[in-house]
Amino acid sequence: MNRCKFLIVAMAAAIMLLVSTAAFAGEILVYTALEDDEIPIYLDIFKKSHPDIDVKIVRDSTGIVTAKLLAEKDNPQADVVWGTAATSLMLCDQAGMLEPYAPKYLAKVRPTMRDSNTPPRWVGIKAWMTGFVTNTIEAKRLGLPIPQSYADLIKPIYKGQIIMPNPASSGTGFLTVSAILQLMGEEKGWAYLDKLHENILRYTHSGSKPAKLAGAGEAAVGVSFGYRGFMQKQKGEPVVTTFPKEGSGWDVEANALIKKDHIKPDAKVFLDWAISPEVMAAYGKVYPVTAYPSGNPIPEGYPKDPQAQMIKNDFQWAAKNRMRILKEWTRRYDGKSDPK
Amino acid sequence: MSTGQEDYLRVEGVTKRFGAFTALDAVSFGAAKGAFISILGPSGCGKTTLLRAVAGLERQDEGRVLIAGQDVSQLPVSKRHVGIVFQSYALFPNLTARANVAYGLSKNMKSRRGVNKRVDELLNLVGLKNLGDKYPGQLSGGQQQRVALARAMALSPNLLLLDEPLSALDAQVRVMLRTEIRDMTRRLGLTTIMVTHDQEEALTMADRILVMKDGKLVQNGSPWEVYDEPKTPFVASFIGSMNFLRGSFNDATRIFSKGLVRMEVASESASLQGSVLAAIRPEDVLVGVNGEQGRNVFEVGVRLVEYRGPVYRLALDLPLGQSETAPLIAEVPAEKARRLRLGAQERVKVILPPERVRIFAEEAV
Amino acid sequence: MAEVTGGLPASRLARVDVEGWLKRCLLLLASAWLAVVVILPLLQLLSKSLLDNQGNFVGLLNYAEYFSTPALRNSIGNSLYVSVATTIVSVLLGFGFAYALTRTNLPGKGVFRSIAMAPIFTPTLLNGIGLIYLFGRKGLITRGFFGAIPGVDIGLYGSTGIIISEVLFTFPQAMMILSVALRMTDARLYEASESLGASRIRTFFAVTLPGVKYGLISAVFVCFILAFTDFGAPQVVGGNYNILATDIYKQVIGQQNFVMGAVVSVVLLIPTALAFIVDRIAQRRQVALIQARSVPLVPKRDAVLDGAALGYCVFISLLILGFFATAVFASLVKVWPYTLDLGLWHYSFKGTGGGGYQALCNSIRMALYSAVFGTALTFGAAYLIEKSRGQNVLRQASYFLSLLPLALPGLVIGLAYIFFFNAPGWDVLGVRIPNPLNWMYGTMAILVLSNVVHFYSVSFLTATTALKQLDREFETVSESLGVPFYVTFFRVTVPVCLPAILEVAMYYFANSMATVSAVIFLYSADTPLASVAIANMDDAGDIAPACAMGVLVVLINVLVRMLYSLLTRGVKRRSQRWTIR
Repeated sequence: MNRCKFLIVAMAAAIMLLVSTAAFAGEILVYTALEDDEIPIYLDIFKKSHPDIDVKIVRDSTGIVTAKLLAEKDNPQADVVWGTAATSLMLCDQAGMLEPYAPKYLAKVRPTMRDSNTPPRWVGIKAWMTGFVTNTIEAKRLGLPIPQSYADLIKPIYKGQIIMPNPASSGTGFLTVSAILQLMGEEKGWAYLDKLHENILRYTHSGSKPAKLAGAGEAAVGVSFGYRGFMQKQKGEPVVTTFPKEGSGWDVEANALIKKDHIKPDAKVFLDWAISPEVMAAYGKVYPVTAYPSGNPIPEGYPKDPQAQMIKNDFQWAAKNRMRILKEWTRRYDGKSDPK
Repeated sequence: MSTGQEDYLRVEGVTKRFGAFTALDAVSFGAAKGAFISILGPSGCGKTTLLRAVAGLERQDEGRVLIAGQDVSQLPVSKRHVGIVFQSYALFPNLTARANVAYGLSKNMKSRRGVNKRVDELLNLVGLKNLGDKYPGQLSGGQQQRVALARAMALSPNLLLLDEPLSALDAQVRVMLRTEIRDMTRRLGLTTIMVTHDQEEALTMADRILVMKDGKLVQNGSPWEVYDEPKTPFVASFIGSMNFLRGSFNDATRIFSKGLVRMEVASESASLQGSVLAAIRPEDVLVGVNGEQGRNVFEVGVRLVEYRGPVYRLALDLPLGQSETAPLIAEVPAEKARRLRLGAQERVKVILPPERVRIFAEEAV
Repeated sequence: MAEVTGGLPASRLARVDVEGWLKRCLLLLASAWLAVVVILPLLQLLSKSLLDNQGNFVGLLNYAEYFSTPALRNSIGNSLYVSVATTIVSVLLGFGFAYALTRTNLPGKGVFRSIAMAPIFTPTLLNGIGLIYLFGRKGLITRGFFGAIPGVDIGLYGSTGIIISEVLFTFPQAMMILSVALRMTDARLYEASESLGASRIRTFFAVTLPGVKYGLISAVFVCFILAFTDFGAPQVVGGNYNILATDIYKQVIGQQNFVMGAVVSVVLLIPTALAFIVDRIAQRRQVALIQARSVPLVPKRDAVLDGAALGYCVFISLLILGFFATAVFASLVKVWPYTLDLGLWHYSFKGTGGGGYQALCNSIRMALYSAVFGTALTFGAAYLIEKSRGQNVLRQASYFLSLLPLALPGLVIGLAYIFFFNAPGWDVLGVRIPNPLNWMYGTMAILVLSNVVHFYSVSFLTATTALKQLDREFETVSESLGVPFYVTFFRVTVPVCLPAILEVAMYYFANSMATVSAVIFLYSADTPLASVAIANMDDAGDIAPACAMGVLVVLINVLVRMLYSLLTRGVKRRSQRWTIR
């Protein structure tokens, strides 16, 4: 008798679980690598205009989102990728995971901030770029000037005071290294990195961590990206963010539609919204470079002309040479034992 | 050997192997209804395996087991209707004595009253009327043993199987329980098999003793038979103690000889020739001091006299040649030893009565 | 006295051995479940390491590349170095603590034990964060408590940091195993040694150490594997020191190079598997050595020894408490180390990601499910493996499979589970087999499953140890009484083993609350988790909220532990009444 009941309950439970995983109409699953503190602001805007669509968010760092997307390749879960590094989306595209889609407002988007195919596989929303986050208290204590250029960073005075992301583990690390190689040419670039390595206290596995460590005084200078430094300053940390004179490496945070058997119309609605003027204005509050001018003034602390700050980044070159660069970088600087 | 059709329990050619090791080698025996059988042997001889095969806890590789004329070889223990008491008692520690006894009853009896009545009967039977509410941990070893016994009896089994039931108890409790268990099984007419390595236990309790060695049944007989007419030197030495002397034997003259020793043998034994073992029990060695005449009289040296309460135990040297001797143990009742003033003698005469000397084919003892 | 029954009713003869079959089927089911959740995902991973990025079979080419890359190859040595160092320190410290708890008249043993066990409840990431607050450049100790005393810089980042945090992580485990071993030693041996006039030191080396030999081997094994496979702490305090676990992270998360990630995972498995085999061989010999009737040792009073023990335990406990105090303090400080105002700002989790209190609730839910299902599965399987007769091959195989998860790092489990559970199906010899477990992906079920598997081995060993202490004949007795085994299981086995069962449940709960490595790949939008939130907030630079969440996780674990001991005191008293003499 009891066993019978148990079986029925178990089956009912199993069916409910089955049903619950098949997402209901009006619900989309979005993978994103946007910063945690930004997401609620943007989503509130979406909710106002689309109260009928339930957006489920999986947020992780770029690396994990990309790894998850690729690992799920054979049976994609996400409907939409939102605000994730364009270089990551290129990897997904190589794996054949992206469905070309031309969202509304595409015409307004700068050509550098979208996939060149028509319709594009990915469309950018904003750019983030290399910035130096310097702890003002520590800098003062150590008598360090605030670094203004790549050239500054290799000055002997900064020896053991700089933290930088490991390009083999972090997207920010890679775009910085790739920018240096593109700016200086490979030969000079590597020579520069050799010298930089002399000054590096250590490499981290995450791109935001150097900024954070600088904020906590663990290092004087963190090579990171602009947004992070500004947010930390808002929280009361004694940091200042500067951008290298020579130009910043940068990447686009972009959206894409995932190729699936059943592509939900709501996914396209979301992608249309994600580059609409209303949300672009919100992006523009903290990011100087958006897919198209947001109408906001440049946030404080950024260069007057942020577009000029960004180097002419050759994404194709970077994607093609990524493995080779990382191998060389690892050979030169990684895998050494503790600095004693 | 009783393997007639009337046997209540019959074990036929049961063989059990564990990998390359043969634990039971074609063992056969039978037991009449109400008989008390002891399986005796050194550790590792297969006696527990035999018990477990009868119980249905080990499935034999060959042979069969019959209870009341029915082949139960393929039945699990739950269908064989046997009661088992283990060396460790295996009482459920979280249940009271009552609950332990009632464990198998609840399922088989309809009313709670019926169960309670039966448990009372059983606790009475084992003399634990007032201790039913105690947990096993609160009972003495002997009391635990009784609970285990009551539990095994609860379903009125066809067979009672006891696996070294007394080995964990004090000497005195052990002796008392021996009698009680024997009385109980006799009263109930319950066919019982008990595994033990204690020869005294086997001799005092059993109707028949099965002596085992290396997975084989060496002898199956009454206590008297296995003691007085052991079939092999192994049985002879395993049950009680035995003097052995290796020598040659002439079947025609029935004379055993070894060095200076020439000895008549009058007991019944298979016709043997050549190299043999002569054997005599210590209590059969008759010790006199002088003047002993007649057959099989030897003068021996006294090496050691050991006082053992009711008896004296003498370690003697039986001369075989110029300087060669063979050890000989004799047991003498205390009264006789005192009369003979054995402690003070250096040499005594002994008689090895021809009818008490046994001859065995030579084998490793 | 009822009459003895005569022959056997024919109906009883006719019935097949239903119970035997049921038991066999259950055992088969238990083995099958282990095979599905352990072997199949591992095979999937192994096969990945033999393919190139396009999915073509390349044999051992990836391994050749791995071993020809010095940066990767060096990590093997680094990993071995930190794990061996961790093991030595942990086992020594743990031995001292366990010795004090079991062999001296130390006052307040319960308190010391609880404190020593506390790090088990802690997410390893919090270990890392706490260490930075203590020993980082701006750490309390490095700066001498904000300049109050001269500071010491121990050079945290690198092998030092990894070893310290791994010691913190493994010390409770070593202490636990060794105190069990020390308690089991036979007092009579000490009396013998004493009566022979052996000095205390001689007795220690002649009796104590050999007596806990197997406990020591186990402790070494567990510490080594935990340190070898952990990735949380090295990621935070490892600096440039590369070890295998962080290499997996770099390959998979940093470069999306699953193939190389799989190769490193397999390399990581080799030493763990070896350690595992050595431990198994050692433990097999132990069986013959355990004596059924040992006399428990009652420590004698000894002012010097007791004093030393007290000093030692106070010292270690202060270190652990100090560590937690630092974490709590850091979670309350506004801006470390510059604005030291205290308050609960960081406990609001507003403007930080990871899900805040919703994630915490989810984590509690997940931990509860893991505790309930994990305990039921573990104990049931341990029972079937330990208490069945026959089916030796199956039982041995299941036993091995049950211990295998110990050698699997959470990261490997997480990845393998994505590949396995998200696969829509497989083509085997041209036949399409749909994946019947695909529905689990993205649900709470897969999180619970990954936890159950991740923490299976230790729970299984605890359950097995408890079951081994039960009389082997309980099952045979009930069988001979015609009582089905499942009745005896619920009436006797479970009540008698209740303390161990509750212990296992607590272990599942605490670890599920704290773990990151496996679940970070498996959680979904509906199931944010506190531990993942810690990782994400730490990653986003919100260290203080991360610290606050870590403190909450520890707090909940401690609360549940207290609630559990309060609640179970009653249950235990009732079910364990028989233990009172």
